Amino acid sequence: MAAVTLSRIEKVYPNGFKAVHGVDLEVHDGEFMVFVGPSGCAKSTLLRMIAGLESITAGELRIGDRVVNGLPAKARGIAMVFQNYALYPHMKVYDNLAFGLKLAGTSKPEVDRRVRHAAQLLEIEHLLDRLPKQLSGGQAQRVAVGRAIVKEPQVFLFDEPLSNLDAKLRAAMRVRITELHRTLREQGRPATTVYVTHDQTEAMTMGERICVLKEGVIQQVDTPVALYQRPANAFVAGFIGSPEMNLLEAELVTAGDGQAVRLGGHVLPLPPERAPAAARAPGAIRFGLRPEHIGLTTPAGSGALAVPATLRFAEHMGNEVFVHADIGSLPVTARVPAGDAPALHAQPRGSVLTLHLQMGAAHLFDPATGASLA
Amino acid sequence: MKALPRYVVLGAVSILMLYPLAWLVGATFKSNAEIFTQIGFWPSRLDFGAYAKGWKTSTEYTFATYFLNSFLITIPRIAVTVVSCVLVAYAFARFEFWGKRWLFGVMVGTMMLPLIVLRLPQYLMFREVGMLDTYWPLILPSAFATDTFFVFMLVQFLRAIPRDMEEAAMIDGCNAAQMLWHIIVPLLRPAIVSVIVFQFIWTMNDFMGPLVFLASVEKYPVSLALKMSIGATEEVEWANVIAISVVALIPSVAVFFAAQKHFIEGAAAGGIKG
Repeated sequence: MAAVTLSRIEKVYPNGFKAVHGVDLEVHDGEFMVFVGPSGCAKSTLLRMIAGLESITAGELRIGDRVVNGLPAKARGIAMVFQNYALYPHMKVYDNLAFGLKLAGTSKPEVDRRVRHAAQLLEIEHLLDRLPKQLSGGQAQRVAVGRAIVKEPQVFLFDEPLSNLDAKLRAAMRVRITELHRTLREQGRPATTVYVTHDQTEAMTMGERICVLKEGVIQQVDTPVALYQRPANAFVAGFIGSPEMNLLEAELVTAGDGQAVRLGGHVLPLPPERAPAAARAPGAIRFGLRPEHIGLTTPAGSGALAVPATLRFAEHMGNEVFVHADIGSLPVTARVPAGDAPALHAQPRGSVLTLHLQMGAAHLFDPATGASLA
Repeated sequence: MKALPRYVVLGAVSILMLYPLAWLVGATFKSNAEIFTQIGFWPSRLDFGAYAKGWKTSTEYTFATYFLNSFLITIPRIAVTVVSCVLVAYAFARFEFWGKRWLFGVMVGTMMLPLIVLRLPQYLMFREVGMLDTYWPLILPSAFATDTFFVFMLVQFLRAIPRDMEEAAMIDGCNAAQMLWHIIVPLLRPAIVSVIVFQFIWTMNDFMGPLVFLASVEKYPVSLALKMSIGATEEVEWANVIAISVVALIPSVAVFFAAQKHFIEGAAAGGIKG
């Protein structure tokens, strides 16, 4: 296993489009790193550059202690799982798994041992004699993962491997891949993994660290919890978490000896720990508050402030309700336990509610740059 | 019941299309007088004499010789066509090289060229190298992917195949040649079958090529021998000619039906209606 180090990596396409802007990143030995971002953020391009399927315009890429910029894909010690599986349709599952090893001249007993071991790990032993077209999506994806495992690579690369599966299977495969990573680590063969997804749920649940990308620039690299609690900017704040954080145009004002935000006509004092770290003149600001920090009741000791709002509609999710309402003219979403909102769906649009905003969980961002002010 | 009119129309059209073929088979059992006077295809007697006489021909060789000659041209030609066209198509579909677009345009442009304009320069060239009256002039040009229609068809087919599999193979350690053999050729199989079927039928039916390049009767393929059987004697027994025409159709029809499943798949995927 090996660390992957990207230093000032750039990608410029022949037509002049610059897709990746000087990325610096270290994926530690044995770490599960997730690249996440909306489509067009260059996360797949970055992965394909690590794989050797895409050339590197500038910068240095190291796998372990080797610079691999000029090495072909097969010499980089990587294995990749593709979005649409990319199984060889004319080969049986066994041969799909064995193909790379055979090309590398691995001895027959060793090929057989590795294929059977991987098949056992992924519970696909009964599928070894089938052709890819005889597999379901989930089975094909497991075979694709198996093809990566048999190579015993230094780095595993996953390119949106679950996006072709239905929601239920995706959740199951998510757990399976995470478990596999843990299992390999426990067996003393930690697998450095880079996993690309556009799905923040996958990123949050699978990644040990997450790299959030936007338009070829890294926005933040941190653990899932840190990304959730301390987003570096408004983009990360809005991308991580579901439903997404409420980001509202507001105004920073002075109130008494502290600071406050003026939001939809209401002045809401900020707790001292949530006020901007550096002294900031009053003015426009972006105010962020996650839906789970807006309630219909006041939890004790939360320092929540009551604000009137008008109801637009409520989405009932079973155990909780997403309440969409307007504070003044600003749309907000609240995520409340179903027990707090028994009769909400019966209320007509436009009825007046009281929302309780937990100001202790508020985030403030620069309106121009989006950078966090906390 | 709703489908009934549709079947009636389809049935009527297919009878219309197949009738000449049925008439052809029926005519082999008829005398000259019957052939020119009767529109119906059902013969009054079943006599395979025309087949026997046609097979013997008026030359010193039987049609066995001519069929063998046809295969001696067709089979090597198919082999070199498949190899050369797959290589060229692979290059056009998967590699970047200087002038690729222009070269592809030129190649597609040659499809518009009538074959006959190439015959004279080819004839002069093959005369210089002393290959006239051999099968080389009929086979050799195909070894250089000059059947550009096939190259075009294979390129279109390859372009429709996602590259993921090749990328996976690249990571698995394939070089360009291994990629071609282990991945591309198996994926191209339906298109390659189409190439084989087309080339088989076209080469079997080719009349002008052998006519220009072959001089000895013993080297004639079926297409030339058929023509010869019409002109050889003054009074033509049409039944004999038709009988041998029917026999001459058999290989092409057999090849088509043997390959039908793959062929239709390939033609559909290549965007060409079969």
